[in-house]
Amino acid sequence: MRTSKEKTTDRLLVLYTINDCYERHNLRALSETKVQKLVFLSEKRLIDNRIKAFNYHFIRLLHPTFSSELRNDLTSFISLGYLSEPWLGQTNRMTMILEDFNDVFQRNRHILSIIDDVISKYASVPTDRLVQIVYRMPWLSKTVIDLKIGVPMLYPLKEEKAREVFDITEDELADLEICLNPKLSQDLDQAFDEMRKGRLLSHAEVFGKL
Amino acid sequence: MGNYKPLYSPRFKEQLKQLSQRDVSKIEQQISDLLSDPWHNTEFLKGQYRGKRKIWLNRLDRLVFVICEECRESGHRSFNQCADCDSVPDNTVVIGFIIFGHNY
Repeated sequence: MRTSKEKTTDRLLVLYTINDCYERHNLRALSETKVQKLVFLSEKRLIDNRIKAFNYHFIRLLHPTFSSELRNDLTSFISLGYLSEPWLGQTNRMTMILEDFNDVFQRNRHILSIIDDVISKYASVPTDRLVQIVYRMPWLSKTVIDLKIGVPMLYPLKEEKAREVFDITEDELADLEICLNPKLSQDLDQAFDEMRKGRLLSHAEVFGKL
Repeated sequence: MGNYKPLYSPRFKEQLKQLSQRDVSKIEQQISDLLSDPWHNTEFLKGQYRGKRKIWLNRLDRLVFVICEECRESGHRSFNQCADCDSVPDNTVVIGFIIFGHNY
């Protein structure tokens, strides 16, 4: 299980990755498979450098790597309006988060430069070719294609084993969690919807008749 | 009550129903303190919740609210989009939601 800090960091970095594909590489659409590959390759490169940033669990599956945690995050992002369907498009919500947490990105330039390198190398590669590239990647003494379906491939690097850790303060994490925790965000959206519709109550209505 | 007058979201009222009378009284007192100076010890939310403020009620829980005067002066109406904005006085604080830390 990922910690709350790991989940929030992962979600921010996925939005960063997707945004980077559109902004720096002018992609017009993104499939889930491509995002799965880009995050997998970024996380692997980071772990190889003993850097703790992405924390998804990846297993060997058909295409050929997959993280159910990443799938859940992408599904939540769509349902909460951080990404648009059907091709994981940018939305205002996503842009606002990335703008407001720019300080976090500035502080983690080295880590982001590694993610940027991966995106630069692979974002423009057609998804079917990218899948083939991952199939042929060396993995321990084999290649990815030789691994059995379901074999764990990546998991979160322990902080004590890391040479560098994604730097985010407790306050930033608390603020980010408000934006990126699907359940909290859904509850807040409902409350603000009521405010938008003008259904407001007086002090006596709230505290006088409980 | 301070210089500011509160209005509440129905959702906030629902949240209070789940609390003990003691906790409700405590929150009522904290809101009373907030209304004397809603900028003191409070910060803006970020991202899609721009234009709204938060204050820590205790180590875990935060109260989310909007200061109508600030919303108008800072051009946050496009973020908050309250339907009855024109009929609500400047010195209103809209209390929206308690983020109970242990729920998330």
